[in-house]
Amino acid sequence: MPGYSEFYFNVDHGYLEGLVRGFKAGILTSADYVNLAQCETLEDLKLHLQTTDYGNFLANETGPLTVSTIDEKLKTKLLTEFHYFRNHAFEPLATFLNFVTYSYMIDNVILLITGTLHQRPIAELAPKCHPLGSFEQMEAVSIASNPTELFNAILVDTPLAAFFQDCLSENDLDEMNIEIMRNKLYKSYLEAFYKFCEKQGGTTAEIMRPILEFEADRRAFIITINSFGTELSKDDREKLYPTCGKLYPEGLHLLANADDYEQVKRVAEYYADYKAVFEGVGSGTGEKTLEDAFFEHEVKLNVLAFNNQFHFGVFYAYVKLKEQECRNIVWIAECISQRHRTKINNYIPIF
Amino acid sequence: MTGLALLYSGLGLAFWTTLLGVGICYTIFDLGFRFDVAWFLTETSPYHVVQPGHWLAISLSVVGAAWGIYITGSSIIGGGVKAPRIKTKNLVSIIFCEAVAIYGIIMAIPFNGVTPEEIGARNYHAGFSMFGAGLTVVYAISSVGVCVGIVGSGAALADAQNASLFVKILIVEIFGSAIGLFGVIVAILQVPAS
Repeated sequence: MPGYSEFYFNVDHGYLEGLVRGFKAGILTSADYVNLAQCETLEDLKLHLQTTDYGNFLANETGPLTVSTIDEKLKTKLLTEFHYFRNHAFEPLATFLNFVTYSYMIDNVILLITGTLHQRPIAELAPKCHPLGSFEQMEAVSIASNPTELFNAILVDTPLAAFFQDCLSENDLDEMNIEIMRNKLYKSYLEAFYKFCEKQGGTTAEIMRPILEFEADRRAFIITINSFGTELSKDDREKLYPTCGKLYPEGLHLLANADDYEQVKRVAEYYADYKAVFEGVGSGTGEKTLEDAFFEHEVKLNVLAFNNQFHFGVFYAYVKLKEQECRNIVWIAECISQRHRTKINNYIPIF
Repeated sequence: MTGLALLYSGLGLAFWTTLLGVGICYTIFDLGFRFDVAWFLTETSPYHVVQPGHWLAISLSVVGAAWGIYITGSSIIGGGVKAPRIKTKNLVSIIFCEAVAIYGIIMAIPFNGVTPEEIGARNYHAGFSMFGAGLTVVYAISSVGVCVGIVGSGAALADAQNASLFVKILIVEIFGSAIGLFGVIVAILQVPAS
């Protein structure tokens, strides 16, 4: 029965929900970040991380510690936890978790295609892929030269097959077309995810709706801003916007006609939350960038997901918050390793 | 459609078709007088309604309690992985759910004390009021069982985050159990009145 999820949610998903809330309690707090920011070297950082939930995740590292090792190990830890959830999940949680991985898969596919286009060997590209989005045919992506071949040979077996319907019209893979392909794939994925959450109904739909709407609108803003100065026409731009957000349909139409940043900001001012996001942004080097403001808003929405019980949003929110935590730790580690500590406090605190 | 949905809709369709068919036949053949509710209720013995009240009381109260226990139990297991200290304290929530099942047994005892000589073979008022007592306690107890279970699940997860919250949420559970007690009191009042 929709709307009565408290009665039967715990049958299949009660244990995993309790577990993910336990993991959420281990997410670093502002006090932890203050401690990390005061570290002088990466070894210090490793020591501080040992007292948190991360424990001895860097214990087996031989050789000098680098930021990329730390990044890799952080991602591996999240991957282990995510695989545990995915392996123990029943339907429909299993499909939900699969949807979470598709965005990383899309990024991986695009990364591999771009790398192949620049004649990079597959061995160099494979470690750069995000582990959450790995799929079996990943290495074979490099042999394709146009999207049709890519689709027919490789991607038709992956879960991404359903999102490729709009992309087969491109004939070559060149720089511009790859970005367009990425945005079309992502648009199709986001709309499918939104529809899936709406079909679940109840608290899941209620919690995931603002998160996915914000994701759609954020993509629309980023696509618009990035397309200034390129040959992307306004109609093409409008076709790339995901339609499951708050901006659909009037806002998207206005965005498609925008020509500079000021016009984009004016479109955002029609919507109360986006007005607040754009207001915090400055254009100087010391102030917050638009990307940072978007990340901050996303963190706020994801933290709200934990206020309700008996829904799937907690799993999505946990993955996104852990990802933000990885970004924060890597930022602090980079600042420490390059001894450039002026902007070390530009991380986004979560709890 | 999934298998289970297909089964349920098939059964529902079969049931309503039969009912409709029988009703149409009665109307066509002018046998409507046979469909007589009052005759049915007065010709059958009151025990036919006392016994359903009895078994509903005991069985569905246990269903409600079990429902509550599984809701709380899975959350305690999940939360206990990262916060093992909650394991023993949260068993109190499970005991609250089980207490709800005990209300059902308490109800079964007055029912048991009813014998044919005391009730009188033609005392319909007695029969129906006992059925009503059973129904009262059933609704009260199964919903209380589920309520205590849902609150208990929240209590377990909150306790895992912040240990001071457990006792406060327990108070909410106690109020929930108290409501179930109201149902039991009303039902017990209904039994001797027959």
